[in-house]
Amino acid sequence: MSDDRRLDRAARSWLEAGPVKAPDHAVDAALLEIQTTQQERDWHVPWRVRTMSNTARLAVAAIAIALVVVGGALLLKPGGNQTVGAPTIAPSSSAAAAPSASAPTVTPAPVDYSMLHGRILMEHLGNAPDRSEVSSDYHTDRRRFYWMNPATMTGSTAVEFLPGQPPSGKVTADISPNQRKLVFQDTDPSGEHIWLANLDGTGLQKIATTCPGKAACADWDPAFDPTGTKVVFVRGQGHTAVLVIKDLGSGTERVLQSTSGSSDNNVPEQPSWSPDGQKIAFGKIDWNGDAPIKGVVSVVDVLADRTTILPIALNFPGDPYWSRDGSRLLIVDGPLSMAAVALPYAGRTAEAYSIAADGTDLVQITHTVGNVVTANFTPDDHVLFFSNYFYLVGFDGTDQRPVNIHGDDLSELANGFGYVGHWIDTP
Amino acid sequence: MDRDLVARAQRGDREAFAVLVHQVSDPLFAVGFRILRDTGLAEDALQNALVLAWRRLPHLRDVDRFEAWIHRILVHACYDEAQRSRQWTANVRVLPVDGPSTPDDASTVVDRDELERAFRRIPVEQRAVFVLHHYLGLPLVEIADMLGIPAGTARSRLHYATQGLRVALVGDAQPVLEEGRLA
Repeated sequence: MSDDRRLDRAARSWLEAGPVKAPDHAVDAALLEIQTTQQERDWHVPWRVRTMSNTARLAVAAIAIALVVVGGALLLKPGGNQTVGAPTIAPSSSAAAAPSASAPTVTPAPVDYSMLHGRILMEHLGNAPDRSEVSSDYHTDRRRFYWMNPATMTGSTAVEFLPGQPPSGKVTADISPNQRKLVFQDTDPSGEHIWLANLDGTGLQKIATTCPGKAACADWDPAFDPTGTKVVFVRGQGHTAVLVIKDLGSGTERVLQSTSGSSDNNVPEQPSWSPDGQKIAFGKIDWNGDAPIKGVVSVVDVLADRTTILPIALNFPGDPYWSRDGSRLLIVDGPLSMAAVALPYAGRTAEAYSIAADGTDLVQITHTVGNVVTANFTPDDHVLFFSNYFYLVGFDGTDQRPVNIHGDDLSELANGFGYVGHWIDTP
Repeated sequence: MDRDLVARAQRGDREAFAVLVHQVSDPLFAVGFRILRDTGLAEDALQNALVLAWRRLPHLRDVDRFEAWIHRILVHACYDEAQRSRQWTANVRVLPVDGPSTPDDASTVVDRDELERAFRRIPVEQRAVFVLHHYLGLPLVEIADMLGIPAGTARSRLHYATQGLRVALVGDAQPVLEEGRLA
């Protein structure tokens, strides 16, 4: 008999010895903990997810369809679409002819902002907006960026940014302060990565991050600091998610431990750096067992690594962005970007709000007949938001108008679904 | 395994999951102990694996693979415990030597004390494959599928575990008594 065979036999015999019954106290302790432990939900967000089940895809498609149908029903109901505080509504002939039931509201001339220069980089989900991929399938797995021209705002003139790179798609972009670069994440099912590229399409590179320990990491939701030299992002590893700051020059990373949350609940999301670089605002969702989910917006002091939850008088604030002077924050109540579900509760729609930096002085700034999916700032401090169409509104809530009254309904499922826009002031 | 129980537990039925727990706890603990060689650590690994299995059960796509799936969770819980404990070199115990377990010449090569000591010196990932193969009798392809690793990786881990045991046993020839005093 060979040494290996003898060793194997001896090992088997040795392994047979030892306990074969689990101690009752260990089993009882596990069962006790299970009594108070919630099962994980498949809550992945369509354009932020690591992976997405077919069920979730169908759910997202159903939600989007429901939004269109409900919006249409409201519009078709006489007098049913008037929202308190909305700009004066005077449908034009072009608006009346629009195919979408939830067509944008129309104001007296000038009717829109289509003469503004610059471009919109649109984060998009599903079939190509130029209708080249129209089919009965709704491809929620396709997540891409497209350049949209404010002068047209049609899918037929949309130009894809970095097509096919990286292969697993692009989501959650953030534009550098000098409007020359962007960071984004891919949707690699084995774990997302952060990417950096120039807005002219050159210089695409994966930003290497340090994944401590043996468990695999996923990095998502990157955002530039005010100098464009650092990026903050969310790292999920094991059962924890936390904000991490990476210095793009030195490559060093710093973990903001006070922002951590369980990776299946209270995940820090969508960080936004204050203009002075001293604070980072971010959102979290508390899925709250079987009760309605809730959201919070927190601010972490970067130097002290101390996190404070802002006392905002809304059920589900999220998606924060700092105003240029750092005195206020732009948030959305019930942002589709974080929850993957629209949350019109108590008859209210998801809208964008302005709050003071300490969470007080809540002011509603958008008034839609659908829901605000996302909102962020333009280079000239207007607010760009998406609600089937892209709109602009002043940060004080004045002068809400569509970017282009003749533009396509970018929520048409056959052509995919636009979610987020980034107004780039450069040609 | 009762498919209906698994399906009910997936939908959040805690009573159904409790029945499953009582069915799988003993074999899971037995495997955990043999990987970790420590009752306390094996208990912790079992508890963590059961709670994690409950949380993640809605994500299990094929209920027929419940047993393989929960064994995988258990093995990963063992990895965590092993990493957390860091006792492997310091906590050397001298177990009573029972003498030959079989009448053949295997007992002349090693005894249980030497195996115990040597086993603790090989990486926990290799120990896991070794236990699943020699204790549960699973073929390497099945182990690879269970652990979500390539078959070649399972094979190499078993190979390195065996070689590691051999090297450790040879290396133990002199230090055994000294370590025994420390324990």
